Amino acid sequence: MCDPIANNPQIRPEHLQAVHDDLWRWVQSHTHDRSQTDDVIQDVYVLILEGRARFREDSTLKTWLFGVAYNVWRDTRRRHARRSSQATDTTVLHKISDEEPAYPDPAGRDGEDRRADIDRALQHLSLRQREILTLSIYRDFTLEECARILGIRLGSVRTHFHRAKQALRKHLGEHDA
Amino acid sequence: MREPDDHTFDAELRRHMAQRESTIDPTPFADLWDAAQQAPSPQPAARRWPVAAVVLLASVGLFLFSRPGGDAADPELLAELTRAKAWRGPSDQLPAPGDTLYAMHTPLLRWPATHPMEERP
Repeated sequence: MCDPIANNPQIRPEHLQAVHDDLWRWVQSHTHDRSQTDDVIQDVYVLILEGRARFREDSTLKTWLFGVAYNVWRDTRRRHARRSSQATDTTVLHKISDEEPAYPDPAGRDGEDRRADIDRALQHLSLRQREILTLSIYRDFTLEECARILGIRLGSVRTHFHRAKQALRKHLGEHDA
Repeated sequence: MREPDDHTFDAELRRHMAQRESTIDPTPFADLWDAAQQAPSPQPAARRWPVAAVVLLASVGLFLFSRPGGDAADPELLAELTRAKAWRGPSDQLPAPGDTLYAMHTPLLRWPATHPMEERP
């Protein structure tokens, strides 16, 4: 077992390691760029090592880590936006495009169609709605934890969550009809 | 409140998102952790405050010495300003250097200033 981190004595490296893959994939879903994801995660670890981000045990370590990573990514995005006036796809979580590799499809053609429908339906959601859906449904965070990670009010998270679900159902229902 | 088929719908979404992410292999924890440990540390605040103190002292010194009467003041500008300020006569007859009237007001160039009327013989 490794020693605790000097500036964050509640955290041990193995705690971070346990969350690492999930955190990395979540950041990757924002950046769509491997090296940028690595930079964000490395910055998070630097902040923790130097004590510039301190875990106060008022949430789970995973929630806190996601919150720190979200702030780092947001700062990175702002810096990139200032540096370049190019249109970026950073407003799109889960970028959907034809170039993305197709994943194995055990359900056959019907399953593929259904997934394409879900992708299209997700594209109709706002970034915030997609973020909250991904955090709550896929990563099993409570809505309170989502609010903490994204730094917004719980009421706002609830509203986004329910509207996102309604919009998804509507788009998928329309497509099914 | 969740609708009856909410769990089925959530499960489908979860499967969908999982399949999207499963194609990506994260960079190993050890690589990024080691890199973070070797990252250069920013200058700590303890080493920055003496620099800030020196800058503050220099600013205060500059401010003091650039006041009227100090060494750093522009003598020509100071003289002109003082002459204009001291003049009590018509505005189109400002005293020029060499005039008796001008000489009478020159004590204002010294610090602290004295009222010209007090020095009138």
